[in-house]
Formats: sequence, C-alpha cells, structure tokens
Amino acid sequence: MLAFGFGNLAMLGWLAAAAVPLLIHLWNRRKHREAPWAAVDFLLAAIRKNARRMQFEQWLLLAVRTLIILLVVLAVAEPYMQNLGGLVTPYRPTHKVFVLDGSYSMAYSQTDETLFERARHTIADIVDAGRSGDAYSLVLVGEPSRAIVQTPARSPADFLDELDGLEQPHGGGDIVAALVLAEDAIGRAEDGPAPLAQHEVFIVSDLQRVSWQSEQSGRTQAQLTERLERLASRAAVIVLDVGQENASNAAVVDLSVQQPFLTVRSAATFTAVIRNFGGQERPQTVVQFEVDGQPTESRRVNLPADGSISVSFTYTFEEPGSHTATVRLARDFLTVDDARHVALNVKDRLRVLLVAGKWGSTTYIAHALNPNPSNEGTVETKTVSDIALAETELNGFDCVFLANVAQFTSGERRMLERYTRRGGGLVFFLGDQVMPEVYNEVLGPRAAGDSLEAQGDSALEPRQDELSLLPAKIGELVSGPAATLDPLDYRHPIVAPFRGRENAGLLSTPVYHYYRLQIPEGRPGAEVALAVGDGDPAIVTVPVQRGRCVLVATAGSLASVDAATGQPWTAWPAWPSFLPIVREIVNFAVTGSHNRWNAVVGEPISMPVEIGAPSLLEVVRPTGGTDTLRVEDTGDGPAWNYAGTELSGIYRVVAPAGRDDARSFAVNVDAVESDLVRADPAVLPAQVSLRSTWHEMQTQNVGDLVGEQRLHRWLLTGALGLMLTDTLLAWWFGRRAT
Amino acid sequence: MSVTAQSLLDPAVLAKIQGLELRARKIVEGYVAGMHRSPFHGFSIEFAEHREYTPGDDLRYLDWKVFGKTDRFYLKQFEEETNLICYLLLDTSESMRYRGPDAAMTKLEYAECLAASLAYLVLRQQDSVGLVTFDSETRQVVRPSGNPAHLKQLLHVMESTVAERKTRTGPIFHDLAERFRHRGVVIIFSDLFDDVDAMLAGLKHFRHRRHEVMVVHLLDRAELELPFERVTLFKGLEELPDVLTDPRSLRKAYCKELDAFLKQVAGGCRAQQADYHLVPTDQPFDVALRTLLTRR
Repeated sequence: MLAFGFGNLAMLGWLAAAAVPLLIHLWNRRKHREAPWAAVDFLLAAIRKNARRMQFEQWLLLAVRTLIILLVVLAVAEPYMQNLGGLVTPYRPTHKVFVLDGSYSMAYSQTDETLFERARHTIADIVDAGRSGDAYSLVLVGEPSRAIVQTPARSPADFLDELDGLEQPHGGGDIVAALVLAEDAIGRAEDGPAPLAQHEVFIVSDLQRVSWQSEQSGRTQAQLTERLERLASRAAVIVLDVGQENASNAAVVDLSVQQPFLTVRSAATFTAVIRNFGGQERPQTVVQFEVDGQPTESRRVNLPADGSISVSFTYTFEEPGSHTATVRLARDFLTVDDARHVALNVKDRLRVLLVAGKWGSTTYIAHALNPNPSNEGTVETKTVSDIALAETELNGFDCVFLANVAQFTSGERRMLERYTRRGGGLVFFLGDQVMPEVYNEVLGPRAAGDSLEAQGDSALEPRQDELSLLPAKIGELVSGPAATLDPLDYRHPIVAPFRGRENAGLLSTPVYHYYRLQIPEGRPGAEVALAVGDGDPAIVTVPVQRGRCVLVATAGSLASVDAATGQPWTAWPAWPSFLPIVREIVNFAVTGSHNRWNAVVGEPISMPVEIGAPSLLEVVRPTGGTDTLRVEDTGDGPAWNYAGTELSGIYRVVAPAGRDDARSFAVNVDAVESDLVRADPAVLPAQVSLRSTWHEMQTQNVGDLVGEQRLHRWLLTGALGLMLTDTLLAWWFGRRAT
Repeated sequence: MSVTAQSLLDPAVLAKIQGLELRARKIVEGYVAGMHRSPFHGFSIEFAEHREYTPGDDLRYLDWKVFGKTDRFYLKQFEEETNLICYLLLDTSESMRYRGPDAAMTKLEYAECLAASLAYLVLRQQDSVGLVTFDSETRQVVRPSGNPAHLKQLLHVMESTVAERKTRTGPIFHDLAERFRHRGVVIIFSDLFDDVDAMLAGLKHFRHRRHEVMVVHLLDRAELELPFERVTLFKGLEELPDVLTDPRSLRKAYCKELDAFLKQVAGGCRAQQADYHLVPTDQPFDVALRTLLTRR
C-alpha cells in the first residue's frame, strides 16, 4: 500500500473534464466556417510542407491544456503523500483519538441539532474521510470522563456504531481526565499487536470556559496546559470548536427545603434559586412548582440580566413516604438545567438513635429531643448501649447520638461511615469514658478506599482524600474553673437561633472539663459552631459524605464526672440552653438526610434493603427506560447501588409487582455548567491547533500537523506554470505561423 | 481631382454603382481629371507633318526645334500612323469569381471595371479596342473597333460573362497570338491561377508577334494575406479539392508559397518584356490605372 490518497475523493470525478480541450478541438473542427477558395494549390503546398510541424504543435498544446485541467482537478481533490521528501514509504496508518465533550452545555440547541449531535456528526465526517488502516478511539468528557472505545477500533463501522449509541450525559466535563484517557489510548495503540505510531487527537468541544479555564474537580489550568502539551508531544492535537457564540441561558441553580426534615401535616418551604446567565433581562418568565410530577403552582418572575432571584413555594404533605418536588422554568435553548428536583422522605416522626457509652449518658439528650415521651412529638428516640451499636440497624434512624462512648471498633467505623454515606447525621458527645487516641485512630482520617467498596469515582486517579468521621482531632483534656461558651457572633446555624437571646443561658453555661479539639489544617467544611474557654472549639461540625458530623467537646450528661472531685464535666445538660442546642444540633445533623435521596449527575445512588427483600429491583430512568438493579451483599448487609445516573431527573426504584415501596431519587445537574461563557482560545498551548469546523480543518491542512505532505499546492503551481507555458507556446507558434 | 471623383474611384464606393458603363465612365472621369496627357499613341514612326499642341498630347512628340524657331508648340505627326489597337483579354474562370470577406468586388468585377475603363479611354482617343473572354477556352471575342458605339458591345459582353470553369491560359494565349493579325497592346486581366510555364509560353508567343503585353494580375487581399482566424473549410474553386485547416497556423507558409508564385510570374513576365502589375482588388481604381498607364 502506498502512502498516497486524496482528502476529497469525490472531486476526482472532475477528471473527466480533462477531455474538454480535445472536445473543444473536435468541436472547433466540426463548427468550422466555410469559404470558397481559389488559391487552394498554395494552401495544399503549405500544408504538405508543414503538416508535421502543425500536428506537433497541436498535440503539444492539447497535451498542455489537458494537463492543466488534470492538475487543477487533482489539486482540488487534495492529494497527500507521506514523507514526500524521501522515497515513497509504506503507508503508516493513523490512530485517531476523539475526545468528545459530553458536558451538558453541549446539549445547547438553537436549531434542531444540539452541539453534542453536531460534534458527533463532525467525528463521523472525520472517520468517513479516514483511510484504510486507520484506527479510532473515543473518549467521552464527563464526570467522570470515560473511554468509550479504549482499544483502537480498526473498523470504522464498529466505531460509528459506538458513536451513534452514545447518549449525552448531563454532567460536567473533566477535560484533564479525558486527556489522560486519550494518552492511555495512544499508549494502547503503540503497544498493541499491530502498533500504530502516528496519532491525531481531535478534541470536539464547545470550549465552555468552566471546563477549559476554571478549576474544577481539583484540576487546575496548569494541569490542563501540561496535559495538552504532553499530548501534543505524542500526537497532532486539534481542538474542533463546535460551540455557539453569545449563547444565553437561564437555569434553576438550586432547590432546597428549608426544614431539615419533613413530617406529615407540617408545611414544607421550598426555595429555588433561578439564575439568568445572559446579558438580557428575561421578564415574565414562568416558574412552575410540581410535587410528585403534578403542577401545583405557577408564577411569573422577572429574571434580571446576569442575576439571580429566589422563589419560594410552600407545600404540606399529607402522606408519609417518598415524594419529589420540582421547580421548572420555561424552556430555553439549554433545557437540561431548566428544571431542578428534590426527593424527600416525609416521615410521621423523626427517629433518633441514642448510643450511651455509660448509663445515663443520653438521658438529658433524650429529654431534650422528646420532653414528653407519652405524647407523640415530632421526634422519636431509641436508646441503646454502645455494646449494642454493632448489632443495631442504623438505616431506620435519621440521626445517631453517640454519648460518652469509650471507643469504636473498625467494624463500627465502617458502619458509621456507611451511615454517613447514605446521608445520616452523627453527633458525638464526649465524656469521661472517651479514649481520645482510639477516637482519633479509628474515626480519624483514613483513605476512603481503605474500608469502602468501590466508590464509583473516576477509575483513573482515585482521589486520595482522607475520610474522617470526626470534624477535629481530639486533643488533651482541659480542666479548670468553669469556662463559658462563646457563640462566635452566632454565625453557625446551630447557635444562630440564640442571636438576640443572650438571656437564654447559652453565654452562662459552665463547662469544667472538655477535650481540646484541633481542626486539621485544610479540613474542608469544618466549622466551629461554638467556642469554649480561651477560644477552644466546643462544637465543631463537618459534612461527611452525604451526612453531617457534629462533635461536642464536652459531655451531654451529668454522668461524666471528674474522678478526683466527683464534679460533673459540665452543668450544661441541666442548663436552659441545652434543650435548644440539642434540637438545633439534630436539625443541623439531619439536614444531610435529604442528600440521601438526592445526587448530582454521575454520582451513584444506593440504599440498603431489608434482609429477605427481593434481590432484583427496577430503576425507572428519567427518560422512562428501565434498568434492572441487583441487590448485593456489601458486607454490611444487602444493598443496591446504581451508578447509571448520567441523566438528570427523577429516578424511581421500584420493587417487583405487588410491593408498594417505590423510592424516588432526584438527580440534578451541577449548575456550574449552566454558564455558557466560552473560554479564551489563548488558553490553548501553541502546539494545539484550533479549528472551528472540520471543513476548515481540512482546508487548513491537518496533514501539515501530522507529517503528511499535501500536494495540492505543488499541483496548482504546476498548473499555473503550464498556463504560462500554454500562453508562451501559443504565442510562439502563432508568431512562427504568421 | 475633386474629392467626389476621388472617392468614386474606391472599389467599395464604385461597387454601389450599378452598370459597368457608368462605373467605367466614373473611373475614367476621375482619372482623366488628374491626367495631363493621353497614355496611348500609335506605332508608325515616319514623320508626315506638324500639328499644334493641345493639352493632353504626349510631350515625347513635341518638336523642340520648331519650338526653338517659332516659340510655339507643335507636335510631330507620323506618316501612316494607325490607330492603337488594344486587345483586352479577360479571364472569366471560376477563380475570378472569388471575393474575400473584406472585398467590395470579385476579382472579375474589378477586372471588368478596369477593362471597361481602359476601353473607354482608348475609344475616347479614337483608337480601337477589342475584347476576348476566356477560361479553359476562348468564350467571347469582340473584334477591335474605334467606333465609340463599340463600347456598348464590349460592356455588354463583359456584363453577360459567367465565371464557372477552369483556366487554361497557355493554349488560349497561343491561339489568340495567332488570331491577332495587327500589332497592338495585349492587356491580360487574370489571377493567373494556372500553369505558370504554359502561361509564360503564351506571353512569349504574343511577344513573338510583336504585341506589347501588359499582365494585370488581380488578387483579392484575402488571397494575399490569408487573414482568417478560425478553422475553415476552404472549398476549392475550379474543381480543386476542399481543404479543412487552421489558417492561423498556416499563414506564414501560405504566404511563402504565394510569394514564390508571384515572383515566378513577375520574373517570367519581365523575361518576356511584358509589363506586370499586381493589382489587389481593394486598390482604388485611379491608383490601379495610374500604375498601369505610367509606363506607357
């Protein structure tokens, strides 16, 4: 096989035009004029003597003119040759890696075609223009980015089948991870049974700034540049821009429930934040509120240019169980972010588990949560000893208080970790039995993968974030005269209700013993809600996975006493501020319980099931399609895990017919992607070429980028030279003849 | 010469005038208006008497001795001076029918105009003029006569000529040389597209019979220059084959061939002491007449 081909093979049909000079010649002879002539003898004599010269001249001119047309047609067909500078070498097939931007901004559509579809067609065009021996890989930019065709496909048809079957996800885009996958594909191509040494990487994207110019998922601009440069050292890298200039968009960027937990017959307040990402005001925009898919209220709002507004809706649930609420905007060119959903679990009562490390450790907490057990309040408590913790099923509880528990085992840690992963709230009260070193070791920082099953995270570079169930490291015990509490300007939600209520007893609460809590530097989300003494943290909170953890530096009961003096660690449990503090701690801790039913696109959803429950479930996707879900034993009991949340919307997990325990999950887009501002092309390294269309790329000689020699310039130069030659020859022959 | 008369001598203008007689008269009037003397004279050389000079007389016959004695102009009259006999030989072969794309007249029409004009001139000075039309054969013969009414007959013959056959000048010239009993001036109007050697042999015969011979070689400008630009099918006249060719690529070679032919004819005529005049048919008639008659 020779390293020769044409970029535009269809143009070769015009080679038939090479017959035109001959046809014109014949046509001229056929369309000659006639004239009577007397001096025929002289004509005949002249012809006789000049026949050979005339024939030669005619053939020469005919050949030159035919050649001109041939060269022009060949030039238009864009021929190329590998290594033109040397001898013709065997053809070196090219490995084409396509990095397709699958972030949801690619769903933008001003026409009947989304940017994602346009990108797909562009890739198909490039594949169609490929040559025998080429191989193709496909990487989808998403969260996480995925290699769709990782081992280079030699069959264009198979590759296009994969491409056609690709569904646009609704997630963000991790370009850096996608570039890593592209480089991995190049490595596979070079190491495979039929190695390919020549590579082209086509990044087909809308060049959205949030993907290309801002830090995302820990990726920095420097990482992106480094990755691109690294890739460019191994392949020709071409960014094909399929984006839309000056695109505007409006989106529901947030939807939250004001109440930390919902119970029946209690009003629930939903607040949606709607943002206009365009420079034009959007007056009278319709905002619709839906509950369980049914519209309940509709409003018209004026969306300011480049601004946000909040819209609140109130609804009272009459039935306990799984519900969903949706706030929906009138459709615009990017519909993916026009709706936002929240899934809720409306309860009859809130269930709180109290784990007592010592008899009486949870008595005051129980009283604070449910002062009158004989009446049905909004909170139902259950108290167990720390010994029973390992055998207690936590899934039935919205919050777990662990008071003065001496230590935890690894199994208990896994249990608590799993609980937080499902959105549960953990509250630690310390006490005289606590072994801080064990707390720090067992509950402290540990690689998330150490004790967890697969995270469903990017398989490329598992994040090495260390998961700690404690918001702070427990230091030494501080003892002394009564220290008082400092609400730190009431900034934290737990103490915020005390603002303006200085007489509520919070400021006068005496604390005699507490552990000094040290928040590790850089611990994300850790906040001090309340300080004690000389500014040591008294209450520290932190989000842990989907749940929240609250660590209180002192005891939650009067049962923790100074062994020497018998004095309780604190009089707080008996102080007026204790009841509201505990209530607020619960409210804060269970806020994460909503997270259990809500996820962002790409984040897996999971749920434990009761032992003996059906092993096969069904997931009804937002599009109406279904997936089968298998319940598996995770080591912590049966549970299901579903990672196919690449689309936003409501997912319903239903049991086989006859069982009425459907559960709804809301999956929302990451609103960061809704800002359609485009990146500055200058962010691309010099080695990367930017093209707005495939056609432009073709005309601008991608071959130059990959060592191919395009011949059309030479051909056009030759044609031009022949035109001049033709003119000169015609002039010269005419001059000789006349 | 008036402007009007001058313009009338242009073949393009003259072609618009119907009737050979009128054409001839216009030519002659235009020509005579600028002429100082009569071009023709007799052949006798024996002196007889003097007669007084009148404008237009040939100055060659002025008697300068008498002028020296009497201070008056007298011409010498010769004894037995006969009238000039002029034989006009008109080629009426098919090739004479040719008219180029830019020409106003065919070669035959042009030749007829010239011949008629000369006949008119000759008859005006009471000389005799005869006419022979020929192609491959002698077609019409009008015996010489000095009667002014004779012109009508000459013109009638010329106007009724049909050009449709081949030329064979050689045998015809031999035949006519034998038939012309009296010495005279033989003026041949032809394109001479024939066997040159045979034609020259015929001329030689005329000279042998002591005729003065004048060859008026008529060619169309297109025949001289082959000005065509497109591929052309040249349809041969006089039974010659058709030729399809691109004249642009052949022009130089053609002109070379034609030039050789013209040189051969001109050289042959000179060798036979015949006056030779190449007359393109776009040449104004006064120029043509002056060219023809200057040497006389």
